[in-house]
Amino acid sequence: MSHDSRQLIYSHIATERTTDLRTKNNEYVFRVAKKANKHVIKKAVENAFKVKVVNVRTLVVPGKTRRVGRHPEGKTVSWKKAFVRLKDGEVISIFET
Amino acid sequence: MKVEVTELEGLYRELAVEVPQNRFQEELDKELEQLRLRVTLKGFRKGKAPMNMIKSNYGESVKSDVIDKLIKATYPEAISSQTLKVASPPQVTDLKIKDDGSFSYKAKVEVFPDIKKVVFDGIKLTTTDTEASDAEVDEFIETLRDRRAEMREVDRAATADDVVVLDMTKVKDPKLAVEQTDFPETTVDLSHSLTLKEFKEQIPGMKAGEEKDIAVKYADDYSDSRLAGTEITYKARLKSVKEKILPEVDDAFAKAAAEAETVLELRLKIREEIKRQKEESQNRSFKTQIITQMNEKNPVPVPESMIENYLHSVIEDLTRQKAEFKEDEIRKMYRVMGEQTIRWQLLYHQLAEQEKIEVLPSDTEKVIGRMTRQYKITGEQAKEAMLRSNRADDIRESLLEEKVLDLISGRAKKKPEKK
Repeated sequence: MSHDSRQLIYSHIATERTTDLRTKNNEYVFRVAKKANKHVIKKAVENAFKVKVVNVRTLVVPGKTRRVGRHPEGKTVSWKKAFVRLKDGEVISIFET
Repeated sequence: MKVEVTELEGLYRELAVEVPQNRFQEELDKELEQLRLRVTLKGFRKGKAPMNMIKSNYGESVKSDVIDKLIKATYPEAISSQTLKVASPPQVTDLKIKDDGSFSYKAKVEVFPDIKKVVFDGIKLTTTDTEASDAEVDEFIETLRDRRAEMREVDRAATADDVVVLDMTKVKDPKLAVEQTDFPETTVDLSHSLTLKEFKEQIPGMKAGEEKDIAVKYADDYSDSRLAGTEITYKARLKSVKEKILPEVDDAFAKAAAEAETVLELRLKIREEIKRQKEESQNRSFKTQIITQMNEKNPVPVPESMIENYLHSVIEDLTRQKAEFKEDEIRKMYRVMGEQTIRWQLLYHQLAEQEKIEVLPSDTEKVIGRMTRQYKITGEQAKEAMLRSNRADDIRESLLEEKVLDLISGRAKKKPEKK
């Protein structure tokens, strides 16, 4: 599996909750490729942002059913979310607020 | 804040204003904080978004807003710090923003001329005789008689003193000046001074029922511009001849015409009225004479922007009246007048200050008194009407002007008109 961070990490997620996690736990939240596992995510983040990762938690956000008018139900895509905890004192400055 | 003033050509001044960094930063932070509390970003509840995101999303536009705001805020400060009397809105140019957030701009404005002393001695006024002569009173009585004349239909040929009723049809109108072709039942007073001379010459001698073609040549400066310079032929059929019976000048006539008890009183009343009219017209002529001469004696510069405003309002007026005009010509025509009017305004205000003329409550009372007599209302009503019409300032202005005019004409040399 490729370790190219640009293919694995899609985007940073900025919400009130992630802001909280970052300030309390030094955890950054990303939307990542579904096929990526914790190990490659750790490596990708360390490579891309030059930081030390201590823990990665992941989960798959299920797609939701959506209907448009009377058309049969469809589903939005499911995707993987990763919580990446950095070593104390490390920061990813571009996401810092 | 640093302000430097450079004098430019005429009444133009350039203000170079420098706004320091901390002032800008303060204002920017305040503005961003307010924005933060107002906006909703995705993923955050309203007012909960972190400052950095606000900055990256809105930073630039807030920055330019703040600069706008600061220009508006610092401009009056700059003006008052330099004690400039500004006559025009500023033109802001040369906005320079440095990296640290301090910025500078230049504002070009026009100032009121600095009038040192208004000269008003040696004004010469031409007076006219305001007394009414007997002949003028007689003439006035004649018009009154004429207005109250009775009409009686007579069966004889028309004379130059009669009133005739005509059925007229237009037969020749080469320039098609009038659309109407029939003029039934037209009443023509042959003795009236404004009646066309063709009618006056050709109708006397005709009897009821007779017909005649009358060619009328309208003068080039005839008051109705559509008819001026045209020639129209009418076929006129005389319907009836009416004799004008003028009332006798006696006490009854005096009472009916002017609520005077006797003919003598009527004559007195008329004399007063004529005198009043003449005095009024003399005052008007004084005013124009004073304005012209004051303009000559005090050639102070007039702010270009005020003349521009004046011309603008003239043109707007004309547009509202739907008149046809060429803007360039109007501008040229009214320019001198505008300059004179504005210069006079500047002058009389300055002169009022110089001579310590003020509008006193007693002056306003006088106006109210005049209003109550003129419109037959109480003083309270007059006051209320004045407040309601928002014209109190205008009235104050014109009172001030009147007082200054009085002062000038009081000290002017007066000379009767040469006859």
